[in-house]
Amino acid sequence: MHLMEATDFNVTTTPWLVVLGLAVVMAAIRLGAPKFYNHYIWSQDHKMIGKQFLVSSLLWGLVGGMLAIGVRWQLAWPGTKVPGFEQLFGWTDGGAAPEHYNIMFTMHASVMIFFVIIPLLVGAFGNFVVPLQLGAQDMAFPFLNALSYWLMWPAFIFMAFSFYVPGDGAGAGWTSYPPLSETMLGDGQTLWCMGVWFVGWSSICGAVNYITTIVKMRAKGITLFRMPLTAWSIFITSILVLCATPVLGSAVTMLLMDREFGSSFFVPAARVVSESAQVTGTGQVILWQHLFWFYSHPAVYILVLPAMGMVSDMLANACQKPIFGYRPMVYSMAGIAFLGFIVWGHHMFQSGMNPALGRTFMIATMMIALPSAVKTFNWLATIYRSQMKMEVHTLAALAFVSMWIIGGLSGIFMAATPVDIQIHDTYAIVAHIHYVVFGSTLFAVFGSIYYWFPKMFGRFMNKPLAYTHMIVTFIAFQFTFFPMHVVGSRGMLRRTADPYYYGNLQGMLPVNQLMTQALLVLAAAQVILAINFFWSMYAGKRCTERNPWNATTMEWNTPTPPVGHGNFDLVPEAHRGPYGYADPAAGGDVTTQFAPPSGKPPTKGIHA
Amino acid sequence: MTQSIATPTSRPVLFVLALVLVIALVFGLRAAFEKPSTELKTALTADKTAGSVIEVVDGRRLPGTGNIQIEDELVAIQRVTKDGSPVNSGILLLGNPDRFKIVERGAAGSSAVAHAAGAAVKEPGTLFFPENFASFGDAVDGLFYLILWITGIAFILTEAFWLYCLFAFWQKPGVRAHHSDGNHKLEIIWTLIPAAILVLIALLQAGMWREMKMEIPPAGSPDVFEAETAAQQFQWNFRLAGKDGKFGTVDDVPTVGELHVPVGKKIRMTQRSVDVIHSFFLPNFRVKQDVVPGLAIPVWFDCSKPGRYPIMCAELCGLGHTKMGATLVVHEVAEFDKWLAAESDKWQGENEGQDRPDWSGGSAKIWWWWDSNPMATKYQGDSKTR
Repeated sequence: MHLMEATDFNVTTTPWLVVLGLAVVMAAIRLGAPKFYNHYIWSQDHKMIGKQFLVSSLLWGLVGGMLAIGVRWQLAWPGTKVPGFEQLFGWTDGGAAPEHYNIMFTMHASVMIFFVIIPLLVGAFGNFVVPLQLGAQDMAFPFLNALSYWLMWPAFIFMAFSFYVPGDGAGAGWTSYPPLSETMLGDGQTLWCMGVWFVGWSSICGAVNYITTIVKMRAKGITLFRMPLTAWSIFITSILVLCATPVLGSAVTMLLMDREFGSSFFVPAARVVSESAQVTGTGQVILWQHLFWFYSHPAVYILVLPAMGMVSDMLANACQKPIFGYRPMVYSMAGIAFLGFIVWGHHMFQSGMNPALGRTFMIATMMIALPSAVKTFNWLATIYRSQMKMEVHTLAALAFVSMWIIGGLSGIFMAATPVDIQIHDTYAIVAHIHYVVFGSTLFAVFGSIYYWFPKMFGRFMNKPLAYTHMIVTFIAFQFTFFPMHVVGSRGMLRRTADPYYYGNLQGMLPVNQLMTQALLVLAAAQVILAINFFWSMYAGKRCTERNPWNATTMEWNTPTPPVGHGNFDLVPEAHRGPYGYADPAAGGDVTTQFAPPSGKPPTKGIHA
Repeated sequence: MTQSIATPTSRPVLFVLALVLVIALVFGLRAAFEKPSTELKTALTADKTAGSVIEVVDGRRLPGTGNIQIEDELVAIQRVTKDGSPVNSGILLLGNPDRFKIVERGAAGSSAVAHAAGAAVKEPGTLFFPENFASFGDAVDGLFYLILWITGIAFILTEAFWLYCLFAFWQKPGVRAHHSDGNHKLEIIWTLIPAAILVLIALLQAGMWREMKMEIPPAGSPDVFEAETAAQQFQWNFRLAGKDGKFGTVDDVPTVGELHVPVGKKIRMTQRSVDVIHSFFLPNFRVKQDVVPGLAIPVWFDCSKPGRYPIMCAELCGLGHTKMGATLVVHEVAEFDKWLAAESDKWQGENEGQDRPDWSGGSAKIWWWWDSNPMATKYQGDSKTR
């Protein structure tokens, strides 16, 4: 077992001191500049918290993307230094050594999942958009909301420190399967556990808040089935988060106790560590996998359901046509959420779990393809006979639909247990998850940034740059990830620093080089987004209209940007469903959700 | 845009064009996956001297360093520049002529080319899965290609429809989108058809899964050959029962990094791990099973053709995970019996009379550990035999 020593103790306290330092700095700002503090640091306004989440996630996205380049660099040019990594992380091998390769892919996944995708979807857009769509003045618990953002900061600090502490960083994969994650030396893995623990707390605080807000704070006229699909998706996602995240928190706590305090939740009987005396516990190795995937499979849907909701809103607006089958869309999201809780075992078909259980999970997994298929067909039917506007969010929504088809279809191979034997732990899985999480979710996030940016900052983003970003990303994405399906089913293993050690994988080098070159193009395109985003925040074309996209939902009934802490200058009241596009009652025109019937003037509110 | 390219008459044409485009993209992918250099193999067969430099035209599909198997010999090669120095900068490699230096040559399996312990070069069998040599593998491949056809057709139809929409439905001035809130009948149709297909796939695979993972051949029957695995960071230890047919006796044959089995028999393996989770992966036999500390997990397969096949570790197991390969050596039955008898005699001679067999090869502790821990595993199917 990992025993605590004096030096270890010193190292693990450093990140805590930094957290403490952050608190001190915050307190100093509060005393010295209380206005600044209340507006930018400890804001309890959902709009500012959403922006905080957005900016910090985008910055972490650059870190995660850089780590991805490090990983792919090794696969294309094994044994060579990744430019800049020596200076950045102090690795004299520049990321070429297997231990650093392991750290790179572990932290790429951890950063992208815990610091980028989840905070972007739920934290940034959930926070900013949902209260506006409900006609609420703020979230139900503004303090809890601010807390959920600032709980991310200890996690940021711990994860960032895990690269620099002596010994190995966290290199057991983002799944951190014990006993490997228990026998990792150094404090990186411990810090990783602490980081995940704090992210879990942040998620739970957020989830409680969203559920309460959506149930209790809807404006007059917004019934549950008049909510836009973004609000629905955040509602369903929050229920998933609330039920699943405590399991991850418990599991990570158990792992921490195994690592630091000598418990043996995951330490099996009769194990030898480094040829030393046998370590005997009474734990079960596979228990971790059950607990971890009980969170992390629903987490996959946490990663994609809000994207589905946001894309539905953007697609209806882009097509100037109501979402085809609004209720089936809601029911299928609920179906995905429910089934999402009983399919975790499909990550464990080869894990040594009783194979009879594998069949049960296979059936459940096949079933979850159904609501996903229903949603896809509904999106396609929405596009059919529409009148698409040429906007950036149109491209993003269309890209989402087509990438979701690929990500969904490739999932069927993994659900088929005998086929999964061959493709489990290969690049076919990597391709699948990236088509779902990058191809689908991240394209939805890009679209959402372009779509809601004017409402957030009162300025438009630069259109030519945005089109360039979107189109280059889409094309480079295909070259980066599609070939992974093929190399994976041919046996190329994931998480191997040098796959060409195996003779049967040596022929795959050129394809891997192609994928890495495409990734470099993909990364360059994200620089365009970063420049466009931060430049437009201060110098973009001003947006003064309330409703620049001619959309129907309630968030477009506020001034741009929304007034102060309270959002609405007109009393928000919904008179019809969320998608009044091509409305026959209005002669085929757009009728917003908030337009009063028969030309009555809207009621002025307190902020008018 | 004043006039859309999509008119009621041009729409079917557009749809077909989109269909052709998607199909062309799908099949165009084949071009990216050509076989690796055969020219280099021919040149290496002709030139037997280590140290010489060979230039080929079709070497782009080979890595900077690696091993090529030519009959029974492994050849370690390295990509070099004009002056013979190794190419180790990634970007430069792209513009470099295909010049390879023969670093070392040695018999396969010998330590001469130690780097290649797990590597036996196989030409890829198909576009997707590698060539199969296991009896249950054909069914798995059949299922894979069935799903590939089903999802392929679904992919082509949906993506072509998507592409068609992409061309056909841009905004035209004065034209309204068609109003539709949904269609109950359509929803039912596109729920039931995928449901039927998915149920079909689910039913098809149930028997296969049972055969591969649940109906492990019982030990002791004449067509079953037994072996044991003790995986450790970062090597595969195997053990065969010696001439007496029992494990845990002095004539057991331990091997490291090589698993010797007879052709045609059902190989029944009991797998344990010493330290962390590993995964026993035989890409050419459609076998993958995590090897979990604390459990003894049975695995079975059979092989139809003698030869050398890669064994890979598919589960991240630490720093050396990337090099945790081994080789499966499949012998003809008569040849195998002779080999086993000789090895068994050799080990018996070394271990006879010793209280605790002290095997060389670094695996002594492993098997002592195994035999002193007859753990009562709760794993299904195993209690019957151990």
